[in-house]
Amino acid sequence: MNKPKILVVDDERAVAFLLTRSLESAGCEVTTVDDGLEAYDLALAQRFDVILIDHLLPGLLGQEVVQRWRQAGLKTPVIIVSGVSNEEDIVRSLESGASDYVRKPFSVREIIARVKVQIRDRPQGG
Amino acid sequence: MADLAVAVLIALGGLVIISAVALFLLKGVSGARRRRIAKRRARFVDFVGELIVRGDPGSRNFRRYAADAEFGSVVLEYMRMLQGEDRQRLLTAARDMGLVDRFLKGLKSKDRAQRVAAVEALGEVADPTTVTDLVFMLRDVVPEIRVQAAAALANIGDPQSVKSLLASMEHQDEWNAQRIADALFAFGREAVPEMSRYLQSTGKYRPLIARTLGLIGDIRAEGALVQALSSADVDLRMRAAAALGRAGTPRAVPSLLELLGDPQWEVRAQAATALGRRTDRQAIPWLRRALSDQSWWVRHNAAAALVEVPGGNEALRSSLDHPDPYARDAAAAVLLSSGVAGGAVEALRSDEATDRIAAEDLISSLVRAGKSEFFLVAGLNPAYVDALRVRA
Repeated sequence: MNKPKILVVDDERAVAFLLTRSLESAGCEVTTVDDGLEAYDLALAQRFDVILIDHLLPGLLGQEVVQRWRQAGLKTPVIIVSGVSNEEDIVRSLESGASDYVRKPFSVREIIARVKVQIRDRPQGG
Repeated sequence: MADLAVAVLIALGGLVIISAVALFLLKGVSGARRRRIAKRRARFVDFVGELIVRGDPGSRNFRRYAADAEFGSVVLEYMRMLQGEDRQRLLTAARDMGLVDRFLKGLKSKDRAQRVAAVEALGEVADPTTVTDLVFMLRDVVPEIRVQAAAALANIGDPQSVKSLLASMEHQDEWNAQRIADALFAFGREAVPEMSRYLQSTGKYRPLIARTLGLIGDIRAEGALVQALSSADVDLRMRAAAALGRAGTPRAVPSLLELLGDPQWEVRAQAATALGRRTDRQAIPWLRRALSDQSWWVRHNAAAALVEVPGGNEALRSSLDHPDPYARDAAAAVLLSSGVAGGAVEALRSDEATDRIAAEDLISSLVRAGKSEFFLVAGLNPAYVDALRVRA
């Protein structure tokens, strides 16, 4: 069985490292980028099962990247990971096309569980 | 003369060249230092990340790195990011590595900046074993450190430290006392029993604590707040009355009703607002009487409270015929601002004749109270508004 492919987008090295190593330990194949525009191109060029993206990225907000992906027809489940946790921001992120929203501080186990849920519930052929 | 000028020019030129070289070297050294730190930090990020993922705190390297300020900063960065078991595992590792001890040592530094950094770090680490040391810092000579220590204690959330926080307030100025009250608010319900006891003491900041109890909104504070209503301290009576609006039950209502007769208008105004929040119908005649209070604030708050109490709108409507023009004005102003009058304009289009008649009655009373402009702005025909006045 192929390993699930995950794209992690975060400019904070610690967050990116922790998510990458945790997901690798959980049996995923992880690609990491630290820039919203690079992530945009990469997700359209390669197939990922789930994308984890930070909200506050340099240049382009996480939710803006998600919105562009959706406009471009990308159906990959996207989880926004954010230190901003006000209600308006969460609603806006979900409305932009994100599948889920995780607030920092987070639990690694919870993030892995959420990623697995997205893989399990992913629309076939998306 | 020309020789001298040439010599000066050569000297200046030399100086410029030396300065440029020095600047270049300094920049190079500084850049190399930054790169070294970034490299070291990246290594620490990987090490600590591995520690969290693999749950292996036994590496000797970690013990060696604990003395490095950059390493401490990386651990704190991970702590801010994590919660639950992962965070707990990192905290245990930070203790084992001697990192917590290093921060505790920083508390004893003679250097103010180091003490500030140590208190901040301990606040982020939030290790319950550091409570005693942080309580000690509430007596630091530097106000900022005292406030940071209070915030750190709130982060840890051990209710045992609430008493010390309250005791430390006595020696603070108002700004610092407010920051400590913010820390007590962050404790939430856990702090309520001790704060209620403080309210019954002679503590200097009882009004501030009464206010904070109101913000927490836990009814276990009700007894102490009710007792504070009979204090000789006007500020305390006022804050306690306001707090009972959030942290009271129907048991507080008789005391609040009595407070509508307080000699101080600020206290009466807060009592009226609190009665509105309690939404107890028995307050209606009392609030209606308060519409004739000599203070504008009390009249306004009483009218606003009547809107909140079930059945209070009827009392406000009937107050439009009150013999006291000030009471009429307070009732009319709140009926307009609370949306009741706007609702009456809408109700004019109702299919139900009774609704239309009730709406016309209210509008008629408000027009008679001098508020016709509101209805003209709302789009009612001027002739119709005049007719309502005539009807009245």
